[in-house]
Amino acid sequence: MLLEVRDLRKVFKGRFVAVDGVSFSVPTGGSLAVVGESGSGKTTCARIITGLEKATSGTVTIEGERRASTVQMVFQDPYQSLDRRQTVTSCLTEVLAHHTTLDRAGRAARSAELLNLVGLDERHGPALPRALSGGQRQRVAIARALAADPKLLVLDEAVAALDVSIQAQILNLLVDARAATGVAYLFITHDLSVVQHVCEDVVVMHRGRVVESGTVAEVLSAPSDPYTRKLIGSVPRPGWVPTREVNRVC
Amino acid sequence: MAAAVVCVLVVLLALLAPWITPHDPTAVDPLNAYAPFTGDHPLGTDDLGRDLLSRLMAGARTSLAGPLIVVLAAGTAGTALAVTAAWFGGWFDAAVSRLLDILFAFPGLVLAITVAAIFGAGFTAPVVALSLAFVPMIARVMRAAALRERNLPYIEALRVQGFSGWHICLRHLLPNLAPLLVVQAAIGFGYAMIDLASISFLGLGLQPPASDWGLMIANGQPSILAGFPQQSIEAAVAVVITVVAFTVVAERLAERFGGGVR
Ligand SMILES: Nc1ncnc2c1ncn2[C@@H]1O[C@H](COP(=O)(O)OP(=O)(O)OP(=O)(O)O)[C@@H](O)[C@H]1O
Ligand SMILES: [Mg+2]
Repeated sequence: MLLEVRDLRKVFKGRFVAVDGVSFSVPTGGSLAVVGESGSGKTTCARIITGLEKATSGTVTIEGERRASTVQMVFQDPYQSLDRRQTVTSCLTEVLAHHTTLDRAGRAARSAELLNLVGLDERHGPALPRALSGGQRQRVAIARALAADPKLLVLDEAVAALDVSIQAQILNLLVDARAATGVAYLFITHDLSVVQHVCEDVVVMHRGRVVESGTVAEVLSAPSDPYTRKLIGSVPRPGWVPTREVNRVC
Repeated sequence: MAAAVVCVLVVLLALLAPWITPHDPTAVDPLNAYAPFTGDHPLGTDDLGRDLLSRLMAGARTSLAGPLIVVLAAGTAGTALAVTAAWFGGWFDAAVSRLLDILFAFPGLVLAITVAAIFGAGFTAPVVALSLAFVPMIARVMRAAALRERNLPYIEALRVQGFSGWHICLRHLLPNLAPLLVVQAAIGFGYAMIDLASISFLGLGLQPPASDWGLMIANGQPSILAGFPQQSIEAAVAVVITVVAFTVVAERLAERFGGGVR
């Protein structure tokens, strides 16, 4: 396993239990979705895994040593997760200078490659974030995360702030990027409908606990937990297999 | 725009003064005392017959250098304090904020006058004292901004990327705070100029025969009684024009960069 989360617990201010004994794992190159409604503790898990927050108890182990370059993260808000003063190229080369031994020319070449990988081109290199759309910014954020050549990419609601059509583009990009680089995803979302496109496995969180886990196909077609069923029922979408219950109502 | 031009002109005058003054600013010529405005003495002469235009130009040097040193020193110290406090947060930030509040409540001009009275009149003592007095003014504004900036998601993004606190502060936090710092410095410049002129006026700053503007206002007083107010008026106008120009530029910059003017 690449990422092993065991009995993770996070108590805020000594009393509010945000994460309550959560365990899951992500295999090397795998892709796990963490689904749950607002406040279920998903972001808290992500922040502990990326080292932004300390767990109250429990363990997070990542294959090999625990270096920052092993785990990278893409944040929800594409408008604020980039330095507004920094051009796209400078943003990428800064990470490359820190995480690789490439020389100046090598970094320039690699950043052009990364831009290509996320569907941007050299014209966007000198742009500041304010000149980019939300979708383009999120592409930059993904390129920046991939620049560190991570083994695990944590995506916390990475498409939630985007229009539905842009969401689809970014989801496709994520699928392609994983195929191209072999990076594993921890894909956090409150929206079950975007999961099947990107992920193989899923855990469902509710009030700080994991209430269901399995492959995406299993969980979507045969949810065992009532909360999961409610979650699935609340997001009817095109491409959904209608349940018998819905048919009966019609 | 006009204000910016005035700022540049005043600074140029100060820089070039030794080479472009029409007369020697310290050359006494008693026969020519209180000379009327003529082509030779466009702003007249003082009680000793010294050319007032030349004296104002020469005085621009110390009159601008003082506030410049004050805002550079206070800006550097204040920003360093503000960023450190905002970055580390917790008890350190609480202690720094409390200290700044206390210092802020203490009038800077009074501090500067006291220090000048204790350590002797001149250029250095008031400038050092005023620099200290300006630290809380700048640090308070910068700390609030640094705190906002520090809590933006891009800072966390940089931390996840593995950059050190030093790197994030020096390469990201500070450059993003720079526009606000420039605005604060430009505002502070006007205040410092008035304060230093006041100290000179009280005789605790530069001493004659220097022609610091504050000193010129003070030294012109006896002449007012003699019916020749031009020296005091001209020096006061020089102070007012310069302060207004710098303040207007500061406010334009603030509008442009969205920095808060207090
Ligand atoms: N720093 C904090 N201090 C106190 N409580 C917190 C803190 N961070 C999060 N919480 C609380 O912990 C709970 C879980 O928050 P978390 O952000 O992990 O949820 P989430 O599943 O990511 O929700 P969302 O879908 O809204 O992002 C929430 O009730 C939240 O109010
Ligand atoms: Mg969240």
